[in-house]
Amino acid sequence: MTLAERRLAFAHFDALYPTRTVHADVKAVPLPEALADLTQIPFAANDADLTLADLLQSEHLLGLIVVKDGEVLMEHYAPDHAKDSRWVTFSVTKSVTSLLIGAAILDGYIDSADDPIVKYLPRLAGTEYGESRVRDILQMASGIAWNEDYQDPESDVARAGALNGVELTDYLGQLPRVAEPGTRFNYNTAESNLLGEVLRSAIGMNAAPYLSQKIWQPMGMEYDANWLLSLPQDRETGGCCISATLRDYARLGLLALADGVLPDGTRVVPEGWLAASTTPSQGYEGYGYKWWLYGDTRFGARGVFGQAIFVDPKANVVIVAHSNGQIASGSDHNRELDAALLAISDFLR
Amino acid sequence: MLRFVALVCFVLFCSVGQLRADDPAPTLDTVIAKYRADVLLDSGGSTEASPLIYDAGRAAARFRAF
Repeated sequence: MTLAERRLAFAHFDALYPTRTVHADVKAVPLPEALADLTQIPFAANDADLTLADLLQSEHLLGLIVVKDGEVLMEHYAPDHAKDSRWVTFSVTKSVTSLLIGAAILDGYIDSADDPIVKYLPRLAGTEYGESRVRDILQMASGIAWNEDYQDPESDVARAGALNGVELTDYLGQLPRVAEPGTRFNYNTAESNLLGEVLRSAIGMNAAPYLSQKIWQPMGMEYDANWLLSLPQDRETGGCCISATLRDYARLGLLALADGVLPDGTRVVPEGWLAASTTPSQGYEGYGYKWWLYGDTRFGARGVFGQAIFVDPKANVVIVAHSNGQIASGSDHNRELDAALLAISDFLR
Repeated sequence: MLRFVALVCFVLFCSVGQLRADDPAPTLDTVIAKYRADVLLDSGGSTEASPLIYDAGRAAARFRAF
């Protein structure tokens, strides 16, 4: 697949895969502008001294928006990308699912993050996984054995990384415990999909309309989003693939920055949920409730090929990027983006 | 599940290709014709390696240095 083909595919994911629409409201909440020239912010990456202007010229960057104190300081789009362009953001979705778990707790669908997941997925009764808590799978620290080796055709991720529904719970239910719950971070694709199962079971509805009701509409998103579905029951994939516009992801970052409080003062998640979500987990200091932690209160949602929602509470800043990086992770573009996010954040503190 | 398998195959395609100068400019129609879920499944993909998400090692190394 060429970069040009991928560019079209990432912008039109719903033309390639089944998705469910996350409806926006008819009236968007405006994002006021206070435009500033940030292009000369310096940063270093890939053994080069760069400025933000260099990143903006990269063919791998589709869009970048910087919001401080609720105002747009900078908004950049590649020539074939625009304010109304949706873009698939892969694992950024995990952080959205985490927010929805918080919403489900506030709504009373889930009693507590300390609940064992068997409470919501009774098919896991009698299994080691069933006794893992909601909190544990938010932190990818169930303590259940899992091999995420993509090069091993016999690994768990090769066998079950794509499962959902009954197939997923049946596969996970036969795995042994190797650590106490909550003590060992182990990146596990299936646990994010399992979190989606817990969410849907608890709320008794699909995840996309719940996202629409709890966040997309009351947050005043400008455009509909869509969420990848998987067979057999057309379930939203808990760990992947919401497509949304740059500005709407900025609004999502603003919601996280505001501890889950909407512009009208309504709380979406329990008080302190974001603080808990961005507290280093026992198993890995760089991960919370499906948010990556960058130290000094900064946190973010990340997806492969350079997708990012970056939040800096100290600077009251949200930065969002749509990218088409060279490779899934570890690319030169990702390193440039990582360095630029920190540099912008530092500059605005 | 099959659709997700197709997605994994799709991302694999995404990961291995690079732009070639002599390729004709793609259109959305040509991309759909080559990479839509049912097309990928018919081509016989597998889930052996999914770069959809970060593996723990890469994530740890990357974000400690962030």
